[in-house]
Amino acid sequence: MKLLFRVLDQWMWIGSVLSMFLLVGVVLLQVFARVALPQVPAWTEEASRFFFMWAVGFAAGPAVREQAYVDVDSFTIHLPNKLQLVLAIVMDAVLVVFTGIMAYESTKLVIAVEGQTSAALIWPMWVFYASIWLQTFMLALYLARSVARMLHTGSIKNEEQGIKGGEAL
Amino acid sequence: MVFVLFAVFLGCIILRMPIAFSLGFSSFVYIAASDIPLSIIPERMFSGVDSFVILCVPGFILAGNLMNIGGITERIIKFCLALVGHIRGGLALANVGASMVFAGISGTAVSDAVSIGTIMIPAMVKRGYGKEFSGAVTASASTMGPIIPPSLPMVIAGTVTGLSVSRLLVAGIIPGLLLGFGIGAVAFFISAKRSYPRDEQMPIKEVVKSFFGAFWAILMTLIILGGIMGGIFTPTEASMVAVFYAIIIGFFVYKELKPSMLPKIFFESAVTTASLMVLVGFANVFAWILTSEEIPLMVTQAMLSLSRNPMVYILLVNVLLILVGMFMETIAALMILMPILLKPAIELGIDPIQFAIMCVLNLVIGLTTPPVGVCLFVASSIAKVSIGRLTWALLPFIGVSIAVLLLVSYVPQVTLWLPSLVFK
Repeated sequence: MKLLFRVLDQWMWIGSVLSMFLLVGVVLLQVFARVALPQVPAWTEEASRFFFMWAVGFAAGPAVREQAYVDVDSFTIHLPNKLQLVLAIVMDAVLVVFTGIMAYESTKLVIAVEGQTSAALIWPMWVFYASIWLQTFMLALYLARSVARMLHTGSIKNEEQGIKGGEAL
Repeated sequence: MVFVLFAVFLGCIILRMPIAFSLGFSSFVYIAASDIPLSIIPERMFSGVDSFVILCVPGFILAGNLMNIGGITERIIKFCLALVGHIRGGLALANVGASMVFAGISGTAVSDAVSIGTIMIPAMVKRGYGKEFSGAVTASASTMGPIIPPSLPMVIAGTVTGLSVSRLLVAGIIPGLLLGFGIGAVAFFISAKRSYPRDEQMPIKEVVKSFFGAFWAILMTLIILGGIMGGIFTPTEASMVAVFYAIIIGFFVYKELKPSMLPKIFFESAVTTASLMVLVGFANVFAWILTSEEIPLMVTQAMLSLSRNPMVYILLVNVLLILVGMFMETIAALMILMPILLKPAIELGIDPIQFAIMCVLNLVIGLTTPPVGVCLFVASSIAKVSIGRLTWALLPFIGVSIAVLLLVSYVPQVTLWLPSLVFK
């Protein structure tokens, strides 16, 4: 299990960093082309949206590990610690089911757009929609990991260290 | 059925489910109970983030992170201190000034509160300023972040309403400056009343030297704004040019950024972006349900039946949004409420740009109020002071924010003069 998530962490890390680099690069190319070249390539806007969607797809799961999703603890903070922990486990378990169903629904969406292509890049549309599948699937996996961690450590706070810069490459 | 949507949403929030997932899960329950195909959820999530304009969100987050790690925060503070440190309450004024400059490179209040607060609050407390006052100045000054461009809430407001993001960004300049000067004035009066210390006046040579340290950060703001205002870049392009600029400055001018640091910064920016985009995606599903239930129409009719006077409508919206801002995250609130509230506003002849700035300003005030004021929490944890005492100390500053809000609400020129000048 640990090995699976270690590999997953590395893939998500590489995927999100690469997508962000490519996103910045493509938009800068668009600016450069407008300023210095006779014409702007027609595909840059679509490509930048593609890399953006995939950056989000790759980073959505690790964001659970980094506890980047904002919540409101003003109400639960008054509860006993044990009850807070049980509540956090139940909430995450509910979300595992919810995001799991969303991953399944995203798969249907990916299949539904088969045969369609994007306007400028002429890439199959399922390549774009697959980013939503990745996003929801990774959310389900990382939330399941969060439930397992809380059951194991008995603590809501995530003390685990994420992948350090450069470690995955 | 809409009752179920709101009940589940509120229940999830109370039980500490993250706001993004509370929006998604409540929408899921509604859609499942209404026999609508569940595939509508990933479809709406996709369409919510599939926009070129929203691409400036990762750009501005990345540029802010790069500049911050490149050592800009200390330089900005040093410059502001050299400039106003000799005035009574100079550290508090430097705190406000630094937040104002920092707001020009970051688009969120939280990053301002963390970056400036971690340096300024301990420094202020060490020099004899009250903990509550130090925290209150930091928290209130950080709210300039989402008003002075670049601003992530403005980008979201533009995306959901179809308004020009460039116009919104430019329209935020004057209210942002008014907010900064207002907070600075209150900080000065309180400092003078409590006889907080002042530093020796810096020699002009030192002031000039510190200016060159902060110059590159100020130039970044000018490039972003100049590019957008001059029609050279779209906001998305400006954000990526800012990323390129921050890398060059970090490598070759400040020399504190190393190539090995870049992947980590890119990853952290991707994580922040993803947490926001999941929120935007699920909020888009939630907003779709509200539209399909004709909630905007019902709200329009209800609001207009109360009064057809734009002044009254603005007052009602202000009261509503102040309350919403106290309990809801800014971006989620914008995604859900902006399309609903804008319709009657347009019908009453209120300018949509002015209205959007007013909404953002309203929700931003909520960042410094309990129970969910993120900047309040940040400042309270850095200053090690209770939320209750900090809230009390924040009251005069919240008063300034409300005064600026009233100006924005009832004097259209405050927001519309600059865009009308720039975008002829």
